[in-house]
Amino acid sequence: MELELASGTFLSALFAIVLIDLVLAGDNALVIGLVARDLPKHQQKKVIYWGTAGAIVIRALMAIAVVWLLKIPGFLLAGGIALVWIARQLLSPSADAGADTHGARPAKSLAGAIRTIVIADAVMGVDNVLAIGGAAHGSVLLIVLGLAISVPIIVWGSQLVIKLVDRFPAIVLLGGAVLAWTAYKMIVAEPLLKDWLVANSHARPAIAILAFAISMAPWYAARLPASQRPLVVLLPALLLWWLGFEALSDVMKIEVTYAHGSELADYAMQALRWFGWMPLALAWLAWRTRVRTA
Amino acid sequence: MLLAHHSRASHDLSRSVSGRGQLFVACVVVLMILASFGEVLEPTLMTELELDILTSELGLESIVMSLPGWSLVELLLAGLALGVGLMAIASGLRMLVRALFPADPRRGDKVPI
Repeated sequence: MELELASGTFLSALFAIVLIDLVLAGDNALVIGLVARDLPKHQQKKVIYWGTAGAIVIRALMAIAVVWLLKIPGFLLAGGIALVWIARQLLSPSADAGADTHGARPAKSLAGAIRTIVIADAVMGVDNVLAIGGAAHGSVLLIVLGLAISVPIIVWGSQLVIKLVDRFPAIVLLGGAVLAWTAYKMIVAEPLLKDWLVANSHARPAIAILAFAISMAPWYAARLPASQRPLVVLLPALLLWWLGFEALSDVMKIEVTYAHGSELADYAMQALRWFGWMPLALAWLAWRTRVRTA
Repeated sequence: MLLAHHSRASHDLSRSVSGRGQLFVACVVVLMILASFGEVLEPTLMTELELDILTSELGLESIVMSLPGWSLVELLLAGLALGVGLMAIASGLRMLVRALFPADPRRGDKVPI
């Protein structure tokens, strides 16, 4: 699909890509510095040059692969779910704290150093490339622009990104929201779900709420008192429970509408649908009581 | 490791993000969720729920119905406008409440009458 240049959709997708590039930029400088540390001075410059070039080439190849993969049925759904997880990782710094360099160690040779840098960038860039692929709506031009924006960040932009986030921390939060929105758009665009979403159109807002609730949970869970924290799991679980029955009714041809029930099995299904989630709520109440009395 | 996680602010996002920033992002998220509702909202459904008169009076129906067509930039701008509007209402209400209640007589700038 090619978007019209300078149209609202194109500019919006470009803005989403810039934001995603900023918040999901990996620390390549740290990896390059670590890998090249034990090499002689004259080889260190070569490592920086070839390592960066290799990282850019691997990014381009991954972008092409993502555009191709997202056309295969099922991959938009998988990509959307992966993006929700990526947004969670972005908003939970403790999970990523410390010098996580994806197994990079000081290299003993030039080739080994370049190989380590390229592999580390490929691992660090998966989330970035997937998110850009999702936000680009299949537009090759936007993918290329996304790469063109991410490359300067890989090479020179580390301090800029850190200073920007320090000055405006809401960028990370907004990045998480845009990732959740991109994930929702990818999930509802999935060809395998197309017919089901047409028949169950009310599932769309439920999926949107679910995407935002799960993606942004690490941020709002930190603001909740300890007794309320299980709600972070309970509320999305309720939505999933409801969506699960909607999906089951279509896939397994089970009657889940109360008015249409005629057999005991239908009423048992109704009971499970409306009351089956109650153990979760009771577990939360028990947790709340325990936290309050502790 | 993500570069964004190197910044001091990202270590405790819930505290480092200002109230204005949080309000802005919250407004954007609410508009995005409303946009997803707008994708499935049909005028006939509103009539069935007898909400058509109320929503058309408030102008909500047309807004929610048009939201799915909005691009991300439009949603962000609308979120910004909504956030500024809510802040203006909050500060107006704060001024009103302050005017309605007498000032603390021990306050330094209290003018004796």
